[in-house]
Amino acid sequence: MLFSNVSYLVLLIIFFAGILYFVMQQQEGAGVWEDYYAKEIVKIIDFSNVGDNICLDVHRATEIAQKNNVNSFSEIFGIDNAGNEVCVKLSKGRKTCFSYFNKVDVVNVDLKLGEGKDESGRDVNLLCFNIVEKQQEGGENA
Amino acid sequence: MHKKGELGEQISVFMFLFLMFVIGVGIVIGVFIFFGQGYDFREVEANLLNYKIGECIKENEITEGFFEKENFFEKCKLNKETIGGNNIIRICSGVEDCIGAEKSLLDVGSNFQACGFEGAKKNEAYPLCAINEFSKGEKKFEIITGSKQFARRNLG
Repeated sequence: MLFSNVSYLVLLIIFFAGILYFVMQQQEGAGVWEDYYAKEIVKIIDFSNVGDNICLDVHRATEIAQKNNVNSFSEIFGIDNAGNEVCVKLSKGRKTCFSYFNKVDVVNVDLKLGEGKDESGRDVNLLCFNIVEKQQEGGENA
Repeated sequence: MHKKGELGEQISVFMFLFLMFVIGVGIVIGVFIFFGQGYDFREVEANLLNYKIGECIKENEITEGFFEKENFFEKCKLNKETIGGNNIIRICSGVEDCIGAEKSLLDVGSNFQACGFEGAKKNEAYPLCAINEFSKGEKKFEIITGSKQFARRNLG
């Protein structure tokens, strides 16, 4: 009887730990926003030409990342020139990645805090980067 | 007498597991309904690629080897590996039906027929396509591009 109760309890704990992990992953819609930002950044890189300097409003992403304890801003946006891939991480443990087809390198990736303005005049965080000619040996830039 | 008791206990184990399954599935479905489906980028990507290729053909002189794969990717500044894995491209000139054509100027990937299926648009296994026609001088070009790329969730 005691053994039976203990096994129920263990199963229940495992189950709720799993559910908690899943819900924590979805907190603030982190997965949805990761997907959105990764694809929007890829869209801009694919559309850009060599010599372009780009700044994007990423305020919502930085807010979600902070709420989910992703405290290092350099962890949030990763652009891998070698793999032609953009990765966005807004919650701990997982990141969402998407590939771009434009043969360019993305350099000087910088998160500028409170340097932009939205339509209502509120300060917003910007992600800025430059598009340059593809180098033979690419590297991680963020 | 003892066996009857064991049977009752086994049934309650199944009930317990079944209830956990129902609760778990309910929570997962609830979360997905709340946040909705992901952002399907395939059509946007296919259009972007089509635009890039169109501009590239318009801007460059079409020499004999222009549509050879290496040369084409280099001239149009497209990443061969990424496109090979995520996209399809077909470029035709002077044919009626580019999707079903046996001869084309350039083919990257396969299954171009999927671009003509109306029902394929809702099927995630098929690429979403963009088809564009334009003229350069006396030549008419048709470009078919498709994307089958979905975001990847990696540990990190």
